[in-house]
Amino acid sequence: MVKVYSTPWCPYCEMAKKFLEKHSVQFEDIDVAQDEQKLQEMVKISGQMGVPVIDIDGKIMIGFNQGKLEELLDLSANQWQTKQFA
Amino acid sequence: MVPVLIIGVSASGCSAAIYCSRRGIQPLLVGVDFGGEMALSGEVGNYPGFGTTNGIELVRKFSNHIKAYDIEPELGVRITSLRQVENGFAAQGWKWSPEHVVSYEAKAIIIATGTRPRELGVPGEKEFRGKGLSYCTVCDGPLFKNKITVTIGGGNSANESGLMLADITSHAYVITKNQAMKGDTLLIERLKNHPKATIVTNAFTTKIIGADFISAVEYKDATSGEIKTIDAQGVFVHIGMLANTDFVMPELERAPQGEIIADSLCKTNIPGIFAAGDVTNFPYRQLGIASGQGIAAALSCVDYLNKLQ
Repeated sequence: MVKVYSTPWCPYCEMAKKFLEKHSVQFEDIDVAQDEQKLQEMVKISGQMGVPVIDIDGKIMIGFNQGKLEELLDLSANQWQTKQFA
Repeated sequence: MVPVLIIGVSASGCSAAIYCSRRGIQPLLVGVDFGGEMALSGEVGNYPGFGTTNGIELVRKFSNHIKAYDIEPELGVRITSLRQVENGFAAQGWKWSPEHVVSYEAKAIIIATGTRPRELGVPGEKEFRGKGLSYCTVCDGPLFKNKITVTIGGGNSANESGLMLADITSHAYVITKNQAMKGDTLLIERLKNHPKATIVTNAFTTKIIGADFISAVEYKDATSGEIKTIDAQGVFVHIGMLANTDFVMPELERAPQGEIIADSLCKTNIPGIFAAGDVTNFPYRQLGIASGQGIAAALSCVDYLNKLQ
């Protein structure tokens, strides 16, 4: 189960959600600006209060790092070849 | 070797990419993220032709626009070095994390890497980052509903931050070391008249205080010399920006604060390297200017490439 703790105007939250949608990953979008209880939950699991926080089956990612998210979701194997444009 | 490498995927980088493509030169566009500081802008009301829009919407529009020219930006790329090689330039860096090294070679370079927030450099700033201290009001501001916040800064970003927070929080302080807020008169007046906002001037931030999370901001009142505190749960730092130019070669001329010195055609002192947008020494950092400079850089770059042949 993937959960995205986000706020409505946060561009990194938007990027994370778009990325998950693009890869057909189902997720629960939690607007912590509206839900105080979920905000406390986010602070508890991440130990901080910045968004986005992405919970992938208990693995917590703070902020949006596409490469790390791909790894956590095991989306691609040959991702990290060095690119050389010659 | 590609004809042109554009570093930075925001207003100036995307504008440059579109113009290169329209001139028949398909650019390689790389950057850390899409939109940079533009994406964090919140409400945008001064980009001609768009009325009132916002950073996220603009990112979407820029993204769709470059897609129409078959330009797919390579994101997550942080360039860490740039050097001259035979017939062009070599850029090296990493993608998403330092162990994933990437390198590129291009005949010409357009630098459009923008800026990053300046840090305060006071005790508590690093410790409380993410624990109540943020550099992005549009991202994290909504988490402080019914709490007290302090925005530190004296310009437009601080004005906008204070206004947004005043609408959300129980009270929003804006503290500045200056004698008055600077920036758009309209924003300053709205902030001054907001019932839940207070501007504190002549205030030099000295410390961020807390235990697990922030509980107060300490500052020195330059008028009385007294040390004072404001109890607050959130702190937003908007004290200006630094140009992202750490990766450039020392021969590339920069201003004392690091901005790349570019002429009105966006040429630098090194033939084949162009610079556009907030990363340059142009005195005004505006979205419209960044787009325009991106276009100028692209046209100058195309001219340069044509003369190489």
